[in-house]
Amino acid sequence: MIGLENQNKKAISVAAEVIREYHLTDLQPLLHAIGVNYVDNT
Amino acid sequence: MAVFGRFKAGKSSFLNHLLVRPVLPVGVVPVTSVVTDICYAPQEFAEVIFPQQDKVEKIPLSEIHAYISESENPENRRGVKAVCVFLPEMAPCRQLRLVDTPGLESILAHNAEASLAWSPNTDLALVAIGVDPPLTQQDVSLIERLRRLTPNVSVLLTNMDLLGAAEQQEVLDFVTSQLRTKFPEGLRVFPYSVKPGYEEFRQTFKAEHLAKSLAQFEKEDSAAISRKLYTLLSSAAGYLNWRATPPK
Ligand SMILES: Nc1nc2c(ncn2[C@@H]2O[C@H](COP(=O)(O)OP(=O)(O)OP(=O)(O)O)[C@@H](O)[C@H]2O)c(=O)[nH]1
Ligand SMILES: [Mg+2]
Repeated sequence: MIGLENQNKKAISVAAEVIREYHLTDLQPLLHAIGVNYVDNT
Repeated sequence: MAVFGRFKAGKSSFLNHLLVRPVLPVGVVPVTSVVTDICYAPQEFAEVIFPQQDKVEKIPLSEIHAYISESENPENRRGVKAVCVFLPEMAPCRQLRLVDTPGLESILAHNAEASLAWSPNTDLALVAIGVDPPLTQQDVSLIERLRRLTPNVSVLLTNMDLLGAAEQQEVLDFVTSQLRTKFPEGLRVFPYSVKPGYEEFRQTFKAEHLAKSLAQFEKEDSAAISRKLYTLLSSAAGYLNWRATPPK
């Protein structure tokens, strides 16, 4: 992902873990929106 | 660039006018029922995307009404996830996708749900607000919501032709000043009308908004990602904080 620093990547995986663990379905589309770019550009 | 807003604000009409082509269905009752993407391809065609493993069906452009209009696909019974329209007319801005969304606040709740469910994908948001009524609480809540997803949110003040010159200025001043009190960092407001005689609004919009956004595409894109990231992390952190019961 353009301009995404390593600590941000780490933070995204932590957020993803929190979302999964606690079923925060409201946040899933947002994670997906970032995640798509994240996969595309790295 | 995704266009959001109250039903009948003129979102689809605006995109048709921008494209100088009646691609999207418009009408006096709630019309758009499915999120519709418009992007560049050398030949025109459309794709209907279904949620099941992202099944895609290729169709002629003339058939999109059957999938994206409330009258032909009521409550989106066909279960369409999105429709992508490919047009040669998009050649001057091929990095860009224009996105039409179903209207908010109508009696048809599924339309608002479809729009809001798609909203996290937006990088450049445009909120369409008709001149009558000019700016509601719901419009402001929508702007707040979109600003958690991207810093680039602007307002399109539609149906300007319904007002005389003095009233146009009055409404523009009112909306601009109200927005300034709510969003001190500023929000651009673009007056618009699809009626003949108002082509200068389209020119200004293209020059002041589209061209500028395209010129700094990567910057805008990464600003939108940073904003989403911030919102995501602070929401997750907020949830953890709320869960953490302090020790007795
Ligand atoms: N006078 C005037 N009427 C307009 C203008 N733009 C749109 N309209 C009319 O407003 C009505 C609604 O237009 P649409 O483009 O379907 O509105 P929409 O926001 O896409 O509506 P939904 O898809 O239902 O959310 C139509 O009857 C249009 O002809 C404008 O600039 N001036
Ligand atoms: Mg519409």
